Amino acid sequence: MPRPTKTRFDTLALHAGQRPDPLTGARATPIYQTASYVFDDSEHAASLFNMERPGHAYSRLSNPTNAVLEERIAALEGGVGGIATASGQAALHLAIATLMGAGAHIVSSNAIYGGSHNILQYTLPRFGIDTTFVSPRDIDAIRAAIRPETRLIFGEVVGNPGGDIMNVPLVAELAHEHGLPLLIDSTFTTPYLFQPFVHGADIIMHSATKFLCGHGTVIGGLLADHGRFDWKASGRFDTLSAPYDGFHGMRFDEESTQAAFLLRARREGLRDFGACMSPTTAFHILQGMETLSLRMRRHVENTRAVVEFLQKSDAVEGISYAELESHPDFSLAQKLLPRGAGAVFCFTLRGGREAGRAFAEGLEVFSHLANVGDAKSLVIHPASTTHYRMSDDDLRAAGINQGTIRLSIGLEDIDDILEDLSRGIHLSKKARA
Amino acid sequence: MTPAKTSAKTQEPAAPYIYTANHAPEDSRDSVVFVHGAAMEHSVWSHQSRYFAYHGYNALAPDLPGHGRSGGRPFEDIGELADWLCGLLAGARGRGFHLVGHSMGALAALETAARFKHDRAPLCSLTLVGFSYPMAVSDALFDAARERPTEAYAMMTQWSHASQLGGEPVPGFWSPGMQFSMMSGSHDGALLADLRACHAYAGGEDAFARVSCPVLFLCGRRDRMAPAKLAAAHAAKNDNAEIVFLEKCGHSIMSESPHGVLRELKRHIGNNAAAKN
Repeated sequence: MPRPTKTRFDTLALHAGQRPDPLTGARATPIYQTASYVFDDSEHAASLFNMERPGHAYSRLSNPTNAVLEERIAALEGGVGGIATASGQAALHLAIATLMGAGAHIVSSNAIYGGSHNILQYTLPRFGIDTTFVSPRDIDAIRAAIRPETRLIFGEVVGNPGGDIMNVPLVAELAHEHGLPLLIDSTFTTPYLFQPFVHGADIIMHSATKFLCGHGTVIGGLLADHGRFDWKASGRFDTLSAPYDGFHGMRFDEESTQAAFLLRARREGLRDFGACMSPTTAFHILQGMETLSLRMRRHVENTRAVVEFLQKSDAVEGISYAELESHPDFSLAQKLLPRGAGAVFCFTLRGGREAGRAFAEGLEVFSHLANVGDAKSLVIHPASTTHYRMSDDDLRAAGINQGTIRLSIGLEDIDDILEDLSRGIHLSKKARA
Repeated sequence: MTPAKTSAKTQEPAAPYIYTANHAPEDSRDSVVFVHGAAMEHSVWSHQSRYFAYHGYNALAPDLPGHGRSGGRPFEDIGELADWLCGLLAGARGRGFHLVGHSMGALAALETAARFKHDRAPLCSLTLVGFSYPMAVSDALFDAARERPTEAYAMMTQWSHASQLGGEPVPGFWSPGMQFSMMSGSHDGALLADLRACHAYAGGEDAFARVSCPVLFLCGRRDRMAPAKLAAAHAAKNDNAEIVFLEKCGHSIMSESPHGVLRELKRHIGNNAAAKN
């Protein structure tokens, strides 16, 4: 597919958005740890705030270190630009708040991160935005859920925790038939494994805390815009097409046909909600992204070895990984994710809650915590931790059993990972007995 | 309903769309008219046009016929485009006009300046950005524009940037992605028509001879689409012209060096305001 640059992925991951610092020659991206920027004069200040010229005025709106990260994710995803936010949750909120207000409606996959489910199910209704949850596998249900007031379709490429694969091209086509944008959470796949814009998505969000940073050191989020959705033609997005009193009557889609969404998200969303990223955080994420393809290849390679190992264990009841023929989305994953179905997956141990707890608590190389996408391998037993208070019925509805274990496979030596898992399985069997 | 911008735009009325940064043009102000290039639209000037609208000028950035939000068909002839622009100027408010064109828009601005009849308000200045004459188009680009337009958009985007790595001073935007997206959203056939117009234009020498206002050539030092040496040759022959090179810039000079372009436009247009003539 034709691309706007001849430069390849690995080179963009190292260089996009950054040139050696013109004042010092610094090769690495400097951390511009500053809240504000000195104006040349009052006229300069006014023109910056009024979007008459590009530049930095206050780090809640933009920051030179963050700008490198924003440009880099745009280059890797093939979009027009990006916005760095305080967290993945902040990115999701910013996208929604930019596109709609009270009275609007979202159609969301039901196979999504718990935090995303919380804001859609419990928090946004308090502000007048409702969500209908549907299976990402059921295109008819997605179509049926669309209402006149729907403003967004949302899903994850690889669902959490069951590994459901969303048929992004099909859902994108459906969304566009209804004049709606498709927002994809691409956290588990990163642009190395899957590029949603190539498959029709309009906006991408990342929890950059995970694989993009890759080292479990900072919290951050990113949005990227493809710049192709015609907000004016859709007729549903007054926030982008109608005059905005909060910015001198600006029509964002007139100011920038391609980047209207990003303009409003920055000029209103970051300005007013303020969930911006720290420049030090941006630096850490940039460091991680420099090795993204190397790490993702190793993450997937190790994951495949772990899945193969678990398949052979008589302690394992089932594995939900889309590269297995037994997975309902196997064919789709083969088509959409040729480089791998990621490094986060669930499996179920025989022996229920006690076996699961013993397994998670008995591992040494794996860290028992609530995160994914670290260079280090991670484990959690939802039934005894994050979902501890849920009934069996509610657990089942969430796609979780008493013995379900979620693994995020890291970059350690695969032999050490497998030895650790062997120890955990041994302990789970003892707990069963 | 569809998100495809081309489809949506075909439903637009034929009347031209003109960006004014939300300011109604006034007779008491000079008008700066920004003319975009091939398969582009008004927002390619967003880092410059808005500034002028807020600093004592009328800013007029039209979507040329068959481009952006304007209906109609794209012209395949620079002369026809110039006549259309002359008509726009004839109906526009302002005490004097300043034409600023980029690439194909620079050819159109040059020809417009040559044809413009001063009856109400004079043409005060002309700025040719990313200009070359002749503006020959390769067979490879013609073929791509005809058969595989997305490939043509990619080729032009790649050739238009001095660096493929970005790092331009516009926070949050990736300039190659912006250009590729803008071209990908252009009307069906617009690029091919524009390239034909550029390639066929043969009136440059005659037009320069008829232009009487001061001319600024604004060139990216690394422009591969419109090599600066071609602009330099014309600048050297014109006593009323000056040439400015912006370093480390290619053809997408307005986004690669937004501050440099704005600085030079402010200087050139300010020095040649109608009130000073």
